[in-house]
Amino acid sequence: MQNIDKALRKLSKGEMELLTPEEKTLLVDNLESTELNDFKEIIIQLTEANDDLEPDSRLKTELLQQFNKTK
Amino acid sequence: MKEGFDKLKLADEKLVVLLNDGDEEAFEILYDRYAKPVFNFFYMKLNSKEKAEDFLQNLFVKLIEKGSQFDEQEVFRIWFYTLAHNQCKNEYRTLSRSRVEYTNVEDNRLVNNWESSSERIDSSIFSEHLTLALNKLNDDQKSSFLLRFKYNFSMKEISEVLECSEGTTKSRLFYALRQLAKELKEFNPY
Repeated sequence: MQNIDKALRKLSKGEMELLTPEEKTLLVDNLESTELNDFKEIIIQLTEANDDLEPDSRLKTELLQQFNKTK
Repeated sequence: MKEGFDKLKLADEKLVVLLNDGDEEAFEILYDRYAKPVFNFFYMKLNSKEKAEDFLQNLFVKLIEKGSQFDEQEVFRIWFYTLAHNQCKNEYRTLSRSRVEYTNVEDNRLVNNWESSSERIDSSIFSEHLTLALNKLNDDQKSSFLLRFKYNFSMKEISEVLECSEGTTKSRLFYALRQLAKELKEFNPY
């Protein structure tokens, strides 16, 4: 537990390159923990909901014109 | 007509070869496959529809102009998202400098919205909270999260896009998930 706290402290400081191989393994082993999985499902649903956005349809026309000029 | 139907079945990598030979239809098929997901990738990283469209346009212009640099042995999806991620880097640094102020304003607005809402969970508020939570991650953590959970990239593929080791990708992902879990804990139904 102390080891994972130490590894997480490094992560929170953005010091990922300082993680030892053992600490990385420890983090990876905990990646699929129940707590995180519960949130993962929520997060996946939400990110999928944002998929409704479409770029302006005129963009495709402009790019096709540019393509034909260039090629 | 038959020719067009066959091209729709071609792998991305083959389409790039055709595109480099001036095949408009190949370009159009690649656009149809990638414009929407990459647009949403940009949007979630940049928080602006206008910027996302500009970036999307620039990305496809790069494909037109530099498609010949693509090696057919590579995976197009990884190559393309690497370009997209790199394109965001400079912009993201600028956004990061103004993030604190933006986040504080948005946080207050959202808290007020949440308190005045009924007991049921409003998915749009939920979604806005996720966007705010994502904004608190750094660029690499955000990309790792989006590529893994929104675009189903493998750890190896993410590592290639972000040009880092798999261990680093896993660490970033772990940290991102932990942060998001913390930020979104009020929505946890368990």
